[in-house]
Amino acid sequence: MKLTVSNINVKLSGKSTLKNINIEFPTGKLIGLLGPNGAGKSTLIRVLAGLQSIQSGEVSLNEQPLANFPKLELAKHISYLPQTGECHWPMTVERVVMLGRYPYLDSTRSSELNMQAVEQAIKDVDIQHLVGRTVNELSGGERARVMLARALATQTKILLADEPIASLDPRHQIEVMALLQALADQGKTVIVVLHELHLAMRYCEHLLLLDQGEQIAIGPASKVLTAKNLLDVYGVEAIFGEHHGSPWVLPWLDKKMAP
Amino acid sequence: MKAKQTIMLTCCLMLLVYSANTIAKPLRVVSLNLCADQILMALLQPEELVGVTNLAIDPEASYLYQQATLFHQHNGRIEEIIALQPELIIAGAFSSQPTNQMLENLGYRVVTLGLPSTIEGIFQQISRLGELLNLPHRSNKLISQMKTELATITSATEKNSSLRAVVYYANGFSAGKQTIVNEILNLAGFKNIAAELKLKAIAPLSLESLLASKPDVLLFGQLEKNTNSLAHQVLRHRAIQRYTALKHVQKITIPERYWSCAGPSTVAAAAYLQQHSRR
Amino acid sequence: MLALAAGNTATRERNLMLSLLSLLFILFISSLMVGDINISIINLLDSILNDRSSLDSIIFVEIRLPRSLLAVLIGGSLGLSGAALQGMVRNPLAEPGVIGVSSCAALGAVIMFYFGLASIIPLALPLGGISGALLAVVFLYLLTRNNNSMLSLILAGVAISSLAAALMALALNLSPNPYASLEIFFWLMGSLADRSFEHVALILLPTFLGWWLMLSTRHDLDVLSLGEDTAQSLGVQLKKLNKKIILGVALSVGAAVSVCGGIGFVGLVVPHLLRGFVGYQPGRLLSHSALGGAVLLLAADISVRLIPTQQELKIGVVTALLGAPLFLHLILKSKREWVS
Repeated sequence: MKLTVSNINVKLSGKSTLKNINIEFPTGKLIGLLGPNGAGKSTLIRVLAGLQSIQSGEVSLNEQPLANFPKLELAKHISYLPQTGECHWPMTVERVVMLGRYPYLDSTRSSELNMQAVEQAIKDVDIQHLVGRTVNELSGGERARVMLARALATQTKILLADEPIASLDPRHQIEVMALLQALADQGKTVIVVLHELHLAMRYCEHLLLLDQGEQIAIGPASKVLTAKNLLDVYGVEAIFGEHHGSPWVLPWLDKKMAP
Repeated sequence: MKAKQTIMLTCCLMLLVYSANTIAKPLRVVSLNLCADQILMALLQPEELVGVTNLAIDPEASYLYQQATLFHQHNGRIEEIIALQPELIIAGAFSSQPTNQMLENLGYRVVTLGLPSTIEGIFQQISRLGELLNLPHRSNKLISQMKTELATITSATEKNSSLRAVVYYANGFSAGKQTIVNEILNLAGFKNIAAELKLKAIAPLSLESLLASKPDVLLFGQLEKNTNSLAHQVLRHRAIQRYTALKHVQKITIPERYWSCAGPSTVAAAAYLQQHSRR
Repeated sequence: MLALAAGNTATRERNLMLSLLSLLFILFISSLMVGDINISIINLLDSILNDRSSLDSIIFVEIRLPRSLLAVLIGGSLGLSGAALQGMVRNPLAEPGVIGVSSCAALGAVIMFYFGLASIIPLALPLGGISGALLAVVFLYLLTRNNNSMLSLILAGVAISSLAAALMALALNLSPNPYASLEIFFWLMGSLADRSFEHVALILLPTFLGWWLMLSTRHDLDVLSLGEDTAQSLGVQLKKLNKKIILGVALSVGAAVSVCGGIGFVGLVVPHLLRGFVGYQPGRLLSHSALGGAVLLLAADISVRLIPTQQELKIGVVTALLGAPLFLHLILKSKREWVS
């Protein structure tokens, strides 16, 4: 299940949001999508999910254009987790996670498989204690994990997540990243948009850096998260270090806030 | 001697002219009400009745619609009425109160007619009008004409007293006691079911009650033109159709103009019903 | 543990369904028995079995049966479309009456009926209602596409209802029949009185078609709770979903209003009451709302026949007395959302 974008250009409200992006996403890896606000990361993720139309170029899955796949079929291959995990009705956690099984509702024998998938997803994300609670009552972090479980319940080969750990506490941030890495180890392709550079460095085998719609760097962390790139793209200093053999990076800026 | 004779002649002539003026000069009458139109048109000439309502020429509503074309029709607005220079204005109980009030305030003589519900009441109303108009001989003539007609009708109705009839108006209303329709039914020799059910005036009668009262005769008012309204739809309900087929119930439709007013048309209505009912 | 939770909710839903079905059955039978006249069941059965007509069988078959059937069909349509609209715009205030669909349907029907078209082609009547309803739902959809705030929904509904009611009054006054202008109350409030099998026959097809269209969206609506992007990524075809609901609501509500006037608030009250029993899932709510709507309308229709007013009360009065306070309560409860 290989995702590829070739020379894609996307314009939103007349503004060029993605310019000539050319990437072959390696399978079975955890890939981090980085860039400052407005770089086009969310747009790219939506293009990969088949939600955003492109002005030119091609998006393909296994060498077949994405548009050729019927929607329901595509949903069984690609899971998408948007930034805002909204749920318009006060449903319980397990019902929300079950919604992830929508693509399989028409097949027979589905109800047992569905239950199993939902249970597995809930276990993986560690939200068993939230079963029975109403989603809208939960904290932002808890809700984010429920939505992740929903995306996992579909059991797709490809998972696209837009800032899935933004509202989580440090421990759960690490746990979710570890989970995503484990999923990649199992053979899933996981593409994640995130701002947490230290976690990107620690867990993502592959990184893609965007800035103003252009791809700046792609490859392992050592190649992408360089001091030069961080300065050029984010406008911050980088402080590097190491712990137990894993390198870490800390963005730094010496600046006093104006009164 | 010659001078005395001339003076006497002149006085006689003056007396004659004076009396002719007071006796022969007709009142200018304007009618504001359809029902008043009917009686007035039967009593007065076009030079005397200078204004009738514009409903008077409507064949759906006015019994004397053909005769009404001889009279001048007005549209009920005050300026037009005043322009007719009326000396007497006849209004109905339900005509526009503000209009009546304003005419009185402007100094015109406005007389309001009631709504009689018996034939006696009609005769009384005609007499009263005759007095107001200073034409008692004409009203008496009209009354005796109606009484003669009535006599022919009542003499033929002895055998009908067992037939039970009910009137069904648009919107599911019927005419109970104290209505002119009730009187017409009685004159034509029917028993009014609505009166039996103790309904007073124009009152609603549900479709179920209508059928359950087992009428022998169903009476409908007939509108010639467009009958597209929910009010009229109920008259064509399948339940009624099935019932009439079931019990060989007689359906009589009578043009609305026969019973829209109490007056000369009332006797004609009773005659119509009698003619159209099977024996 | 999950299986247990799921098992409990499934039982609750099933119990609700059974209760609604039994209530429907009981009320339907009661509706056939309520009227001005006491019908003897013996006479009735005798006439029906021997294929003879009698007064009792005429009253039963031609007056009470169509009335009860219409209550079920129309109540079902109103309940179902309320739930479907709420699922589509993700807002609990959407309802055919509130958002002006019923008024526009009434306008379409009024034009067909009073100007003679319906007497030439009987189907013109429901078609007029359906066209009117279609205009309103499409307009609503376009309006709430990018923003489903309560405020814009209510305002849109007020505007559409007022315009439609004014045009209706105009049309009725221009009608050649003198009774027409007095009948606006029927079209605004609705009534099941004095309807016949002709009316049932007219709306049968569009009603069932509308129900089928709306019920087919139940899984899609559930997923739509997560937002349009997520729903699409899970395989929901948004355009098709919206078209089905728009058409389904227009067909069933349009036809219903064309024969019985605009009965309001059923589609608001019923989903609100039942939502908790189906775990707030909009798709699961659909079939229960249909049943609940039928039950509610039957109950309301029985009550207008029992309340001793001189002229039978219009059924829309009863539903409004129930529904308008609830509507206010819903608005006040989520005051915060005014800002969005």
